[in-house]
Amino acid sequence: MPYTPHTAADVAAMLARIGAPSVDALFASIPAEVRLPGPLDLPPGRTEEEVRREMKRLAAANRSQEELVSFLGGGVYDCVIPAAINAIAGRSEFLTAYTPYQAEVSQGTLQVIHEWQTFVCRLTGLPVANASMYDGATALTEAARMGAAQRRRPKVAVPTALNPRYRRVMATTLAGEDIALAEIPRRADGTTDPAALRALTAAGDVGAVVIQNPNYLGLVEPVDELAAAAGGACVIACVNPVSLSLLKAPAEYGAQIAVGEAQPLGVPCSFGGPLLGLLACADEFKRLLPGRVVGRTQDVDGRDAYVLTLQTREQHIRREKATSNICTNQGLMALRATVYLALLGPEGLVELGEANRVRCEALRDALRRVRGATLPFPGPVFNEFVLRLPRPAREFRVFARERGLLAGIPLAGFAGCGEGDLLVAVTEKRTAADLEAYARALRDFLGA
Amino acid sequence: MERADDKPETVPAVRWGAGLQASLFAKGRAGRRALRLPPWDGAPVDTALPAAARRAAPCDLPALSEPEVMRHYTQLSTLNHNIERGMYPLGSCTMKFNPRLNEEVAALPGFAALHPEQDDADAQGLLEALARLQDALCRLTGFPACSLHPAAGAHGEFLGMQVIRAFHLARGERDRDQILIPDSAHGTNPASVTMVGMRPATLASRPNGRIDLEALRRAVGPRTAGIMITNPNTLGLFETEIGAIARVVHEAGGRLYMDGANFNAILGKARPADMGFDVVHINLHKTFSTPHGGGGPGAGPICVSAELAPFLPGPVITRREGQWRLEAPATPCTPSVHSYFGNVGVCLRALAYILSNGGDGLTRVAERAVLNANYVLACLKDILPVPHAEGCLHEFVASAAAWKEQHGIRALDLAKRLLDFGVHAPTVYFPLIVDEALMIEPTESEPKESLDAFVAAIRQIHREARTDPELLHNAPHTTPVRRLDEARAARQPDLAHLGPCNCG
Repeated sequence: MPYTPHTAADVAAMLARIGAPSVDALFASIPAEVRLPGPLDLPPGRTEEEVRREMKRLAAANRSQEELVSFLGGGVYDCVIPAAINAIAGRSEFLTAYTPYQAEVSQGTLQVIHEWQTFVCRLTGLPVANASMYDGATALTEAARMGAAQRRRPKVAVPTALNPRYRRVMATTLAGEDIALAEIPRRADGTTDPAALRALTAAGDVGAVVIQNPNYLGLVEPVDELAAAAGGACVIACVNPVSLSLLKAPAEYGAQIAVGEAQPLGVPCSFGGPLLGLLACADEFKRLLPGRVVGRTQDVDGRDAYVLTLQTREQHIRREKATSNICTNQGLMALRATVYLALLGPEGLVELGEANRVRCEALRDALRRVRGATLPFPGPVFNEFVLRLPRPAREFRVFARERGLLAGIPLAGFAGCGEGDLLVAVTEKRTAADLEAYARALRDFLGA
Repeated sequence: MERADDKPETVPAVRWGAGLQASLFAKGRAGRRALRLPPWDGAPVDTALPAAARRAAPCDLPALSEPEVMRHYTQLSTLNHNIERGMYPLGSCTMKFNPRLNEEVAALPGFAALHPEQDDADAQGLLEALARLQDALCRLTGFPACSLHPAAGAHGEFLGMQVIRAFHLARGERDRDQILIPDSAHGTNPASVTMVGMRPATLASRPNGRIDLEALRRAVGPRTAGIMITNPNTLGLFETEIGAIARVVHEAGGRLYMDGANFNAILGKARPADMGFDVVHINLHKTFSTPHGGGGPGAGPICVSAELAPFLPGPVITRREGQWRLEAPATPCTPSVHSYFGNVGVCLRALAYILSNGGDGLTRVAERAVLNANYVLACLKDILPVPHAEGCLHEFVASAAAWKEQHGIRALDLAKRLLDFGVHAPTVYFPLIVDEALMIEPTESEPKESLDAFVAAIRQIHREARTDPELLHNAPHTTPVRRLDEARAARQPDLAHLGPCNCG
């Protein structure tokens, strides 16, 4: 067998040392009534080359963003992945290590997590961050729980234009804790309505207010007005960290918790997983923060060193009193994002943000001029916007796909959007030729 | 030329690993760049973000070149213990060899570059792969249905509890809100129960480390929603009375959840469904060899019985007219625990592992894992007693209580000294029911030679406990850093490096 090194002589010697007559005898504690009577109903093992061939066949049966030109977003984006990231993340030292419980032999992983926390703090403007969450949805859910718990109020206000997948996960999880979701409607321009939020928070039972910026329609929200309307509730900012290169940092508009999906920072789309949830908070929420946190300290010789800390919050100490059960998180993904931010530096980060924004505005501009197409929401965007068609957006998606374009995500039924609405994302990977192909496909589809 | 009044700088020689931890945030120099992005090749764009939307000050990050970044992270990596450096007998974590083939295939662009919002037609190979993994996990567990959505073991527990809760609610049994949990369970079990709005109740173990059937009979009642059992349990023991336990819980109206953290021990030997369980979660990053990545990503799929299958989250994978599809589940209001379909990349690695091993190989995995654990136990039990040794499977929990009593050496000291021998420490102080616990799980991928070296190291440490206990109290001695001031870390949390960058 490929990954077990025992020779027949090894097995015999080991059994002799144990004093057991056979390997099977070691399983004698499993009662006969529950023993599997025959062999497993699975095919026999195969060689490495056979498995490689089979997995390649399966991979080749897909049509990925490698072959198609992607304008898909909605939380996961087709992004540049520098070669250095794969080289670092592929090292056994990072890849095969466990959660760094033994700090003396885990300083590499621990320092990387501390750097990740630092990057998240610098991007969001908040002083504390954790080692990572499964994805943006679970990060937001945990933040809502933190906010409601700290304010001791039973409601969480979420915008209509919040990522619907995030909202579904929140609804599942918060139901178990008797936290109710209240909806903040959007205005005609697609942004969330501060006046409606003010009315919602007036009763004093809203513990947390979620602001997704940009929102799921791609629009930059009136973050200052929304935060001002939160009425003593904890303000949670849900962000794409790449957008924080340009957009107001959560702390700048008074958010006490920031969460987001950090996949665009060097993590492959991989059909939506593994992703990378980020979570940062103000000092007053530190003891409610779920998951791992790394702190800097010293060893007995006075050397700077890093260690998992504030663990008394965690489920292995608190058990049923723990507020979260997260253990294994997305460590290797956090490493990837950390290496990417180190490569970007201050200028590269702004360049990346501008690359998204400029391409997005360029496509918006080109599509605005296609007869029959409209842009229902004129406000500022970062890398995503809504295109409105006079025919079902699903039909355009099929039409564009035949030309090798992934045109966007149909929005029918979401936040008052109709059959003709399509969410279009434009990242730093798109070229002027890609954008022209999109505009041409749209013109041809509409017969314009 | 050196001027006469210059003091020559002293450059001391350094020990391997020393001084490598200089902060990234002190290394930047204004003007340095690594990556550059392709410039925009279209017409100029004249729109700008309104001032109210922009961040006030640009993000202050270190400015570095690519060689510096590569060196920084390569140097940091050398400070980590890892599976390829040496044995990793961390109990309950199943630190087995992570085959490189699995990394290669998961990174194929046909998988890694797929967007989750693409049409099913573009993802036929991926959906087939995931369906095959679900099928294999069902065959291994004996259940008819599987969800790959949970991103980690604790996430699987959470979903499993959601499913049991939803099942009871659908039958109008709102008051069934109590989940029984043995005292040897991992701390995530009670936390997961609390998170879904149910209440955990602790069951004491019998002296032999297994569930007390009489206590269970007394504990069940009309509020019993179910029981969570780790099988084999955290002592490495199979619940020999599982058949009777299942009958008691089912007769009371509850359902049985198996924490499959230790599934590695029973692959091909026994299936959770045959034992009477209704749900099991499986840690793909343990039993199915996907890398731990220094703390994830993992994957914690659950397999369930037919009556619970309608409560699994959507979308579910189906096949009609020769096409793989993702479809909404038939039941409304199923739980949702992840933005998309869980950690797909991890699932692909697990599938490759299952294909490589096959049914025969997976059975061999369990056999060799159990052989290795029993061999180490046999070699050590004279100096490290194992209170619950009888019937130990893939791992065992030894007690250093006698070392503490006789030499003042705690389990922690032994664990830290092991680091000096190039071996990772076992899990210590868990489970809570064994005094000075050392939980040792060698896994099947360790050759006999490394087990012998591990045993020799512990025997030497045992001699040191008698002759030089201070050596152990102060261990480790050869690692990049030595014991840490954890109290200081907690008292004065320094969780981020927030000083200005690029000032050098």
